Amino acid sequence: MNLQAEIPLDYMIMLSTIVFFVGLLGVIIRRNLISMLMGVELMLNAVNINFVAFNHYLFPHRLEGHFFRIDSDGHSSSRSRHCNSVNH
Amino acid sequence: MTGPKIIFFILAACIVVFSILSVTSRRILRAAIFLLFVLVAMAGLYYMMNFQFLAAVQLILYAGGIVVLIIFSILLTSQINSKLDPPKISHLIAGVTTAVGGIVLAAVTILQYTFRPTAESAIGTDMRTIGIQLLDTQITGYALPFEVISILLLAALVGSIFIARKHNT
Repeated sequence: MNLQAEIPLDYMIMLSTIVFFVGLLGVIIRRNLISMLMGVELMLNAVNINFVAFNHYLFPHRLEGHFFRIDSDGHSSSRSRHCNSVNH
Repeated sequence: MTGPKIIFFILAACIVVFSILSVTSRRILRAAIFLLFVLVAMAGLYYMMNFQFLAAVQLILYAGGIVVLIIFSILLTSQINSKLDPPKISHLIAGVTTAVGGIVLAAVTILQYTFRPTAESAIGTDMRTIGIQLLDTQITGYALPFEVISILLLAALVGSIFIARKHNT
């Protein structure tokens, strides 16, 4: 399946832009730690879409976006663990 | 409209609608479930881009781990029945202005720029290639970030135990 011909890279980046700023909206309008954590989670996942999309569309000969995304998994799980312990 | 395009638009609509619902919902447990739907739809996007390993990681780690952790902390702090306060008008205005302005600014910038893909042939994304590159110390390897991220996880574990312990001992 040739995804580049079907779906341009711009679609993916626009999608992740919208999700990122919706997450930012959530961080701004909520004053609850768990709600803010969910907003940050949305922003982080938007960035992950960007990593994977750039890897797939522009630089398919390396797996850099792939491993950046796996590393950001580690960041996000350590951060949510921290937030939960702060909350208790 | 072809098949992949239809699937992409369904997934994108799911992601956008549920992320907005997750941010605006005043019941926090529902917000967590909407976040779960967003994460599962993102796993579908990874499947579309042929990254099966990442889609599995997304389902296991985010849908199975982080959302469950969030739901646990909602239940343990017994906020399940309370509705969140409606946001202050000043916060709402600031947030919506920032979001809409940011989306417009980013969209204008992205649509003006032309991305140039590399001419080199694509590498496979099967488990064997991923495993070899993840633990390789050559120029294409990612052993050092792998180790650094494990140190970060250990530090987060120690830090969260230190924060969450009882203070009367």
